[in-house]
Amino acid sequence: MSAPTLSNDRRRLLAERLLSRQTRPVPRRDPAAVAPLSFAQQRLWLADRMAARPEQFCVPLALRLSGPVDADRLRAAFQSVVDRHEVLRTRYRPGAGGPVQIVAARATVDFAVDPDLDPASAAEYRYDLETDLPLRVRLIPRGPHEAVLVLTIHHIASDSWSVGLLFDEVREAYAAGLENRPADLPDLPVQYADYALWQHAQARGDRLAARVETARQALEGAPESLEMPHDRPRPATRTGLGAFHRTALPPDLAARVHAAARAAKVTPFTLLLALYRVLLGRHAGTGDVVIGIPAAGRGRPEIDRLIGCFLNMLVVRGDIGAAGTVSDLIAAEHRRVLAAIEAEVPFERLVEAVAPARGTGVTPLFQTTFSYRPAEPALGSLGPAAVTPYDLPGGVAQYDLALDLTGTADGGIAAVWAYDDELFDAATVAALAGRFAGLVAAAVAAPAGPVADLPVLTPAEHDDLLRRGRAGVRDEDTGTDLCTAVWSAGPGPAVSDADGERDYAWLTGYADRLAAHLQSLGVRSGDRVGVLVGRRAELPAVLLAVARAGGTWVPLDPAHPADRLRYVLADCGARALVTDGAPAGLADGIPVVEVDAERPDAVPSPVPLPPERPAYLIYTSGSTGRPKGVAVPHAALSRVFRALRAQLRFGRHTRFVAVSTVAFDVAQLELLLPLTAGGHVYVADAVRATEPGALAALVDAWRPTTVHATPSLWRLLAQLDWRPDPGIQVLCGGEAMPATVAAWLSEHVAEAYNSYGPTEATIFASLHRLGGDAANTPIGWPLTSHTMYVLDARLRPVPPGAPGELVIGGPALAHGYPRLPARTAAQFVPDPYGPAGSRMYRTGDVVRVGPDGHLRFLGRDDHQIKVRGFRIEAAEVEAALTACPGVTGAVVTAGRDASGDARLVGHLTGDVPAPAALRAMLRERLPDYMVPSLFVTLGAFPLTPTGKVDRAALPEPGPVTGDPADRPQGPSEEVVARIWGELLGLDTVPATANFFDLGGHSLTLARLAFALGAEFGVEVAFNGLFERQTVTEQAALVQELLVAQILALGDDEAGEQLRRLS
Amino acid sequence: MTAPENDEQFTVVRNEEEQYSVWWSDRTLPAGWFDAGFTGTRQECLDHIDRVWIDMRPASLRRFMTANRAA
Repeated sequence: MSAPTLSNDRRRLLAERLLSRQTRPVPRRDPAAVAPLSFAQQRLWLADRMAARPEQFCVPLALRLSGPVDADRLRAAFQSVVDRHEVLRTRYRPGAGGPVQIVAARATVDFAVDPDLDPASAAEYRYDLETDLPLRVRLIPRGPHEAVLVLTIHHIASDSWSVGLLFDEVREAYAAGLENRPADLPDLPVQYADYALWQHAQARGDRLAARVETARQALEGAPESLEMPHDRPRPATRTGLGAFHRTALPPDLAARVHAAARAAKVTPFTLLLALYRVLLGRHAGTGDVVIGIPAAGRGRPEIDRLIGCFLNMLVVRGDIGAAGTVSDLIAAEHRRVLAAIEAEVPFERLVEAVAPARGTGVTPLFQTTFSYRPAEPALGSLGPAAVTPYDLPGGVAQYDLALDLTGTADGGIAAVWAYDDELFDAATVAALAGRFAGLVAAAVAAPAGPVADLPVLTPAEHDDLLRRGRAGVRDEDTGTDLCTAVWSAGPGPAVSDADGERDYAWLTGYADRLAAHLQSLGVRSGDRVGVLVGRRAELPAVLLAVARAGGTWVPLDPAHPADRLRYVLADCGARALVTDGAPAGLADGIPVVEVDAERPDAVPSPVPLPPERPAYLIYTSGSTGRPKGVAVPHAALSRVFRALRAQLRFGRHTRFVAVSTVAFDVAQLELLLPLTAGGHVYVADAVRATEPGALAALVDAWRPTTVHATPSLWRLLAQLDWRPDPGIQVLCGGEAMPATVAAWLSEHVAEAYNSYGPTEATIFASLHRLGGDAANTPIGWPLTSHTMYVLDARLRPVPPGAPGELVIGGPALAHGYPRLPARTAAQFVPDPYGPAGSRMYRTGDVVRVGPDGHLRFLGRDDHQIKVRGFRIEAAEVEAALTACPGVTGAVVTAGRDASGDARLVGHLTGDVPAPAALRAMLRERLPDYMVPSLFVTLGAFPLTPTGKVDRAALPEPGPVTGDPADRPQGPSEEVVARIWGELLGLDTVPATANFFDLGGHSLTLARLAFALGAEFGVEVAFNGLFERQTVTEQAALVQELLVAQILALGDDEAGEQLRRLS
Repeated sequence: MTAPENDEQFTVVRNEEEQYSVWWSDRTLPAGWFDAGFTGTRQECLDHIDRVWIDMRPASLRRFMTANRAA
């Protein structure tokens, strides 16, 4: 690889700039002129005034002096340096046009000798920039020939280069004093205030403005901040204090770094910066990394010898994802660094131009810095005394993380990692340092290798992460199959519903009769059988019958539109349909079996069960615009059931209330798992399964040992002020667990679990027992039927704490998506960490391992959305929307309603029908949960630079502005409108607007029914509200209910109520 | 974290259950997976799988069903 060359245009620009430097030196200022602060000083001045801990802006230097020290001569030496440099005699005052420099003609150096001083406390100093001088010196004698010298300089008057200059001048002045000769120090033609004035004059030129604008554009779209895996959340305000971790690249590795840099025709600085960028990007889960690099900011002879704050932070953004090989990566870094040095944009000007809207918790533009010095400047001696560094404890962390590298005398490279210890633990930073060394070693060993394959973990960490992900898995056998388990589980009660209790003899008898009937209709091993049955005791029996006959059941939700049911039956090639009320014409050409039909006693012919035979085929939302089936084999189901029976201690005592729709895969668990353990299932009807009051009453009356529901349903139960039996076992899953629900469950229930699992990994893959940490509930660790890894885009483990895709392996995965080979191959991939030939499922869920070692859900990496437990492909809803007349384009996103529940928002273009009409059309094709709550019509979609719809830039649904003529009238309308406003997060509610048009969905409607009931003291049925969708209509409904209630009262009671009212 | 569409090369792979997937051409194949003889971009490989993976049942299940039907 050759070093990148400068284009002719760039050469011309560089020459021009060099020329301008020669022709326009920094002039000496008019003695009467009031000097402003330089740009860097202005920022420091402001930051110093706003900081809670302004000592972070002091640069301490502590030196150990071994040998005799003459304190008086040392004081005189410091005084002479203060006399030479105005900046050491400058104070800063606010002025009308901003702060100004007040330079004292003379000032006595703040120098003291104190043998009792502790060096650490001597280094801590709070300057008042208005009254104090920026340099303080303390000499701490520790015996006749030993002392510690502590200098503290405010950053407003120095930078790291200045500290070296200062000490060099002191050394020379001190030596000259000892030798009684004049000090040999260079003339200073200008002073810092001259430079500040000159800098402001320069900035008024056009050329800088253009450079700033170019630099600003280069930062457009950069991540808000670089989020490394923190051990603790980012505090609202940075203290700027931190700690150091010191380590080194050993000489042999450093030698290979130098050789590799030479071969690439770059400096070790560039090479190591490029690899630091990879380390950061791979930890933060991003390719796009912005790093600050300090530049001396000098380069003009007249200011080279000046003490002062010249340091400029260059902002260098780079994309590690774009690089192919390590060599390409380094070459790209070289170009970036050259461009940044060449543009030399003052950091402060760039911050002003970018104007990041950020809190004080994040440093602007970048959160990490990198520096490299080929060698440590020699400290030498002070007169006859030898000088060595004295390490101060604790320190400053101006950024989240800073890596400062320095070549050492032994040929190695010393690394100082300065970190914000409010974010990171020492062990975390030590691990980072270890990984950096491994990354550097791998990169210099294989410069032609792909960047993506650079190991970011040490081999021990890599193996340990994989081991933890598969620690508990059992895959030696499949466990007892479903039918064997159920048929041997009785006697005793098995299934109940509102009509009463049935025992195991009924269950197996019913299932055997139906299985034999299905076989008589031609159902053979592996054939699919649709199950479209309401929520009743026969439902689990029908599923078992299909399995018993050798078939694969395809659960169908009677609430789904006929169009969708017809599609599923056709797509799966159902051989028969078992139903208790299928719409006419749904299943043309296949036998339809009535659930309630009388059938003679019969036993089906035994069908051998290959473990890989699918138990069920379940349809979930599909990205192609149509639902897609997921085939789950018996082997997977029995393994998950075995794991859950053990972990949840299911047995004959188990009483389970099933509430989930059969089209949701967890319903297979609710309806069947207890029956494999001899337990008892109550199949809640549609009302009890959705209305929180009815469900609470059922739980209180039937006294289950275990209940499963989504967080949304638990939230409704919590709002009822209902108290469950604290001994109940609660499973809660299907969507991200809100903190309020976790807190409520932890408070009221002894044993509650957050469950996680995609349909493709068979119902549940992990459980986390709740306790304590309500704010961000983990999804736990895998069941004994699964393995779980957090992997990067190349399917390798990410560092602990880094975001990655959750990938699930183990022996309980689905087969895939029948008739969708490409989709199956893309999602079910070779598992390099499992047994030979095994697969793992890419969930698309982004997770991280928290500092406590638990997995936490962060979000989705695609356009899949979760609403009330259902995974929805935006594309499927978008396809249904664009099929509506007039709609030319549709983008569906997830939002949150006023209660924090997920809701869908449809963004549309075209001549869009009214929301109510649109919703009616969608209900023909989509289940209710897939119908967007809100619609926003746009002229056109905002696009990303690559021409895709920019989902992040889509406008939020606007607030509802009510027509004054449409105000609610009268006390009942006003009360109803107020409740709507609370539920929907609206200030004004029009009396005739539709509840769903304002963002309501069926879950908010359930909440509304409850709130209206509580407010008016009447029983408001959820279904009743479906018919009455405006404030006016609902107020009328409430009136009717009240009247009906009063009419039902006896005369005495009515009289009593009337008396109380008057 | 889905791999961006770029010119990365993939190979169509198959295991003993005759299940198909894709793997990076420049990386060692995981144990138990075999090169199915097609290389291209990820999308090209997936399109190829759409053409060749007709019976998606695991091979062991397919064999079992054939054997039992014959019996």
